[in-house]
Amino acid sequence: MNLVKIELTRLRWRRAALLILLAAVVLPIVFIASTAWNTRPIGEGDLADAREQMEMSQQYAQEDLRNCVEHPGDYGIDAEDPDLDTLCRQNTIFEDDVSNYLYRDQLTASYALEGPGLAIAVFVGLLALILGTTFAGADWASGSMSNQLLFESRRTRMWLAKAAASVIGGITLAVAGLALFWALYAGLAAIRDVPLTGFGDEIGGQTLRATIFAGVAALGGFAVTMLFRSTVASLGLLLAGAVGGTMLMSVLPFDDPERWMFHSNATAILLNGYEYYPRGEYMCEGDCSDVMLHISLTQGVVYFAVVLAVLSALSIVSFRTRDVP
Amino acid sequence: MSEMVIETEGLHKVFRTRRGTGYAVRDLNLAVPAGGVHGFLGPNGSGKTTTIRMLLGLAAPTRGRMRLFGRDVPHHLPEVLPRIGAVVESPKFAPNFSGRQNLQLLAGTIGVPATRVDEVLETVSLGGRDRDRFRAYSLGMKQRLAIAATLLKDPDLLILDEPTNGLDPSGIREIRETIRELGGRGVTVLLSSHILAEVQQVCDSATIIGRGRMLASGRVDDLIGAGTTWRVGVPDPVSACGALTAAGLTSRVADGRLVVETDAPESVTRVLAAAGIYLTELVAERADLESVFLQLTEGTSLDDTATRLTEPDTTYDEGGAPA
Repeated sequence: MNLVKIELTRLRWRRAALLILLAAVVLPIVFIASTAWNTRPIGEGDLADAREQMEMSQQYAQEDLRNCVEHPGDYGIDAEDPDLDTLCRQNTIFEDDVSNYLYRDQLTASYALEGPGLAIAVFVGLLALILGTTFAGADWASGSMSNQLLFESRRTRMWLAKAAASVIGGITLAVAGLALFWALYAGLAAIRDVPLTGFGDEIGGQTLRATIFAGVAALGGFAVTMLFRSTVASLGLLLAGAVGGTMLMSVLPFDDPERWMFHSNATAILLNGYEYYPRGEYMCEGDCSDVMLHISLTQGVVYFAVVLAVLSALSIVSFRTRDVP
Repeated sequence: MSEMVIETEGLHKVFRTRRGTGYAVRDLNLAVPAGGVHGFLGPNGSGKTTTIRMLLGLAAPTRGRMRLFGRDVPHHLPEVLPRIGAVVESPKFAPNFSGRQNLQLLAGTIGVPATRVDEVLETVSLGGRDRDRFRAYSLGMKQRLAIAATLLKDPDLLILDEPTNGLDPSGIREIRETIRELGGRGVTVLLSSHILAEVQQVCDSATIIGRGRMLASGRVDDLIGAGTTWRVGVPDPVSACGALTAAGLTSRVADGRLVVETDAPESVTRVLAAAGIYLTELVAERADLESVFLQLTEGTSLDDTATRLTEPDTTYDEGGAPA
C-alpha cells in the first residue's frame, strides 16, 4: 500500500498528468457549450431564416418546373406526353412546411446519453489511456526505472503499484470529467426547463461504466508501455492497432468482423449494448430486430477483460524477465 | 578469513545484438571482503557495469552464482537490498522533479522518514539547490544527488560506478574523501572505475577485469608489487644486463635504461662491481597501478564495447595473467 501511495505521488507530481486532468475538466465545458448551441431554442430570427430558405427553395422549384416543361427530355419525360405539366409537377418538390427548415437537436436526456454523453465518455477513456501510457513511459524515458529498482527490487510489486496508480488516476480524471459534464448538463436542462426525471439510473449507469472503462483504458495504456518501454511506441502501436485492426478485420473473410472490433465493444460497454448491421447490409425498413446484430454489455466486458488480461500478463512477464537499462 | 560481502562464481553474461552474440562477462569469480574500499578496475566495455547490474538485479546472468552478504541473489535480493546503496552508470532521476522530490519518492519507497532527505542533501552539499529541477543540475550536482540517494539507506555496502565522472577537481576530492570516510566507518565500498589513480589513491584492494574476465585481484600494494623494480644507471647497460642475467638476476634494457627486478638491491651492486661495472645511480621504481593495469589489459581496447565470440579468444592462466 505504501508503494501505491508513492506511485500516486509520482503521478500527481507529473506535469503531463496535470495537463491531462486539465483537459478532462475543460472538455466537458466545451461539450456542454457545444450542446447548448446545438439545442438552442428556436427564436424569431431562426423562424425568419427558415422562411427565407423555404421561399428560396420554392423559387428554385418554380425554375425547375419551367425547365422541366421546356426540356422534358432532361427529366426523362416524353415531350409529346399529354400530361407533361402534371408529370413535371410530380417531379418537382415544392416545400411548404417551414418546420422542415427548422431542424434542431432537442435537449433531452436520451440525446445527451447517445450524443455528447457518449462522446465525453470516449474522450475521457482516451485521456485515461494517455495518462497510463505517459506515466509508465516517463520512467523508461528518463531511465529512472533502474534507480527505483535499486530501492524496490520486487518487480511484480512495482508493476502492480504503478498499475494501481494508473487505474486510480484514470478513474479520478473520469469522475472529474463526467461529473462536471453531467452537472453542467443538469444546469443547462434546468435553465431550459427540460425534465431529467426518469433518466437518473441511465445517466448513473453510463457514468459508472464510463468511469470503469477509463480505469481499464489507463491500465491498458500502462501495460502496453511497460511492455514496449516507450510512450511514443505504445501510442503508435495502439493507434495502429485500432486503425489497422479495423481495416484488417474488414478485409478478412469473417462473417461478423464488427463483433471483434475495439470500437464496437467499447460502445457496447458505454451504451449498455450495441446494435449494428451485418456485413454488407446498411439499412432495413420496418422492424429490423431480426436483421440487426447485437453486442451485449457482458460480451463487451468479456472482450476487454480478455484483451487486458493478455496484455497485463505479457507486460508483467516482460518486466520481470528483461534487463532494465 | 573475513566475511565476503560480494561473491560471484562463474558469472557469465551473454548478450545478443543484430551483429551476433557476444559476452559481457565470462566466468567471473569476484570476492569482495567486508570493510574497506575495493576497486573494480577495467577498460571501458570490460564488463564492470554489467557485473554490477547483475549483482543489483537489473540484469539477469546467463549463468553463474552471485551472493551478497552471503545470500544468493537475485533470489534473496529484496532481503539484502536495504543494506546496499548503489549508483549505476550516470545518475538517473525524473528530470522534471526537483532533487528533493526525487529523493522523497525513493525515501518513501523504503519507508525512510523525510528528515533523512534533509540530512543526505546536506551531506552532499545540495541543500541550497534541492528545489531546482533535476534537469537543471550540472553533471556534478547530478552525481552528488545520486550519492545522496545511496545514503538514504545508511548502507553497509556502497556500490559506486564511476562516481567522479563529470565532477570538477574539488568535487572529485569531496567524493574521494566521502568514500574514504565511509570505508573507514566500516562500510564496504565497491568502486568501479577506469581512472587508475583514483583506485590507487582510494582503494585498499582491487579487482582488475578485461574482456569480461578477471585478470587480477588482491590488495592494491600486492598488485603493484612495491619496491621490486630498480632502475640502474651504468655506462653500458647492455654489458651490465648480460652480467646480471649471468648471475641469475632478472634484468632488461628498456629505452636504453637498465631495469632489474629483485628484492635484494645489494646483489645488483655486488654483481656489477665484480664485473668491473660501476653504478651511477640505483633508484627504486615503484610500479603504479597503471603499469600493472596496462600490462594485464594489453591488447584490450579501451573502446571495446564487448567481446565477440567470433574474435580470437585470449586465454589466461590460473592466476589471471595472460598466458
